[in-house]
Amino acid sequence: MSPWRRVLAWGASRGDEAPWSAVPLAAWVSLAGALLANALWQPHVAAPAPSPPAALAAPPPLPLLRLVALGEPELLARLLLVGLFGPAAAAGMAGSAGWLHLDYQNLARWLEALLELDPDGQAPLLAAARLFGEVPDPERQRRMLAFIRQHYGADPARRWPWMAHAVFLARHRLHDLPLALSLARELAARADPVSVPPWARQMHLFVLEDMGEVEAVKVLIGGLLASGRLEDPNERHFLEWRLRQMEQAAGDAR
Amino acid sequence: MQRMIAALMVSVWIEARRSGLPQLLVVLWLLALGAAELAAALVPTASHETRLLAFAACARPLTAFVLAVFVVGSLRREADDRVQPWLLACDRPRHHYLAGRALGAAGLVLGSAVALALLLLPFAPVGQVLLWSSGLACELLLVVLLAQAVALAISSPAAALAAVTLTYLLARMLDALRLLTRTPLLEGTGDWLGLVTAGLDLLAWVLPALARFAPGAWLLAPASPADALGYLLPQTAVSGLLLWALMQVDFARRSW
Repeated sequence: MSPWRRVLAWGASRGDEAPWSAVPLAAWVSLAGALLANALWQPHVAAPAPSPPAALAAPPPLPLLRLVALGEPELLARLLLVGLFGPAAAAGMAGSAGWLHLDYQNLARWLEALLELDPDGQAPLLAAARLFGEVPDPERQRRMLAFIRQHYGADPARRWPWMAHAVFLARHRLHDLPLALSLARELAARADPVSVPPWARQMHLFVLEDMGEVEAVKVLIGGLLASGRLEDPNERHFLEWRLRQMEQAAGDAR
Repeated sequence: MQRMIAALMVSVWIEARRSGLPQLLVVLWLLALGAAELAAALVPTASHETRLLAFAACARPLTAFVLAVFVVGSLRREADDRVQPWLLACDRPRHHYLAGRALGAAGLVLGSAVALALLLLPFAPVGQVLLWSSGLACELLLVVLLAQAVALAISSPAAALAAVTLTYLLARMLDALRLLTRTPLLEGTGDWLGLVTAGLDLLAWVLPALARFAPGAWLLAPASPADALGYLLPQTAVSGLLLWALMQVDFARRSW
């Protein structure tokens, strides 16, 4: 006997069975009646409705979440994250406008709790940068940027992409160049040259340039080139080209 | 009421008492209360609401599971002790046996729901407790009917219990799963999503959405009894009737 048949036989061995004709007519009638009643009732059952996205309470304490996780905090963190943006998405409000209904103070607490549950997980920071940070409300955007900045330092080697995105948001969405510069400087200060690409480490130069601080940029680029810390020839060539371009632009202006 | 039905019904209650089912349920409810107290102590705000929610959320599946285990165990023991063939040899229709067992289990359901309602009364308003425990009674009734149908159809107690547990979990998650398949988050995940959605919709035609039966939120804020019972009672009747009819058809084919 094959193992599959053995399992079936173990589960459903029923001894001898009478033929179908042995089933009394009343039993068949009651089954047909039950199916008919079910068919008549089901159209009156309302489809499940998503809960409103505004109802985002504060997260429970971390020990309670760990208790609920039953030893699988990483899985719980992922499921809870789906739960965080699930209601708005289910209500057809996926996209930045959907998050306007959320309490961002509680949202940041939830994201912190998820990071505590799964410190290696990137999803909470990704969600803060790419989803919740794209909301068309400066106050909420700043809350998300603060969250990313707060947690970048704990693992710069893996969390730098979200810090770089935070610089982008501050520069192009909020148009807050001092904030962008501050974020970019923090990104550069803690960035590991091996794991963080040069463009991310040099974001503060471009922000400074946007701010019209051309002299400061030139000094910084010159200092970088002179320091010998730039091992990648392409990176060095790019910065030299950028420096030449800026000097040429300054000469033309004069 | 036929004497055989009444005798079987009472025999179920006697067996439940002798096997310590009430004591087991009380111990589990006290453990659930302890877990709820712990949850209430941990949360910074709304500790009373948390206690209620946690207790309801723990007590509900625990009661369903214990009652299902009792029904499956009792029926399998009766079959293994050759009591079932002896009872069916009496000059009575087979559905009297099924009715006696089902009514006995329904009595246990009623007792459990009333006991839980009494336990909850100090913590929540009477109307809300009554509504919640009515929902719980309907849910437990369907669970014991399912357990009876499965235990009569499948001879292995482990397989029968696994089938009941999985069906219960699926029925509790049905609404959430259907919502999940419709969320834009899963868009573009492939053709399988359409199949899963269709499968779940089909399942919703025969499986009651048990998540709507006794949500803990009913204990926190007054829900409209008309809305709640307007779903609960017809759904319980329809699902109960379906389980009863399936049980009858299947049981008529058994021979010993």
